[in-house]
Amino acid sequence: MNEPNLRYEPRQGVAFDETSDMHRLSTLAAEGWRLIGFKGLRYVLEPAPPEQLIFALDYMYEPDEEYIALSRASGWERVVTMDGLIHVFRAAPGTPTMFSTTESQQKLQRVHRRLLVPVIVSTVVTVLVWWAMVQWGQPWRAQREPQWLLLVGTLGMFGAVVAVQTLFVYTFMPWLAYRLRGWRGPGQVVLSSMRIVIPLVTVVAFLWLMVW
Amino acid sequence: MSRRAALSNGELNDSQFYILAALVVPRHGYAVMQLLMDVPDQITHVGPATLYTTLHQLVEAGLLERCASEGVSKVYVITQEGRRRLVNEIARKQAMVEFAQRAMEGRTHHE
Repeated sequence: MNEPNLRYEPRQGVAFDETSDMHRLSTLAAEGWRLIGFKGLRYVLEPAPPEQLIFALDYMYEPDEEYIALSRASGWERVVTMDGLIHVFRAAPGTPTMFSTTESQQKLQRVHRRLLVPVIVSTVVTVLVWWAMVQWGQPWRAQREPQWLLLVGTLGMFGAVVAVQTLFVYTFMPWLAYRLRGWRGPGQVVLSSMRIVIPLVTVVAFLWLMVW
Repeated sequence: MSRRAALSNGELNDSQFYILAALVVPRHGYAVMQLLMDVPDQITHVGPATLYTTLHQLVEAGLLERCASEGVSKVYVITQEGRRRLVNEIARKQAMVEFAQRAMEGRTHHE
């Protein structure tokens, strides 16, 4: 349930490009909205006196207090942390970057490595679920079970497919986004099309499997 | 690519170089940051996120060690291996600069 007086702002997806999200947070701070957390794929903001602030995002898995202390000492205050990995910081305009002028890609390498195992797991699970459906789904449907059981079974299978595809998209897509970063032009086109292609292929494949 | 592998090609990136050099004497992280801010004409800015990550990388690679804690801030110092790598890197950078300077002055290596 959404709390009254709070504002929920959709996240663009920091895996793809966090700069637009960070600019958005600056604009919202200037309009009198303070970031207080994340909820699902949305930022949660509360009314606050308008402030001129800049925001930065870093990936660091469960850092110790030294990380926060060093950031604070250089003008960057941590606002929120998500999953112990994604940290949003705020600072006064003009504060030098949290990163360095030459090694800004370091944080991407860190998170990229962390995503590799989830990507492999979700790919294997996706393949297994599809394989199981092809293997058992068809013979089962051919047995001419009662209509209601058929309906429940089909819905159940569709639910399973949506679940694994969602898992796959949320691990594979950020991973792909990091892989393609720096290859901006064609990379972005591939990414945008994947957002449409994956759900479309899922639905078509499922319908084909059920009707065939 | 492991962090160790990232460092094992023998070259140090600018942040690693500055941080190793700053830790020839023991210092805590914040002191390193202040020291680097005071470098005149410094082109490379080392921010807190880069500093934290690089300190951890260099400790993991055995080029730095933690020798004490002052509250939340830990004290770091260069190891023997770190010193060896720093000396190599200084020589490498010096050779690069000398080559470029000779070239700019119109002199080649064999003259």
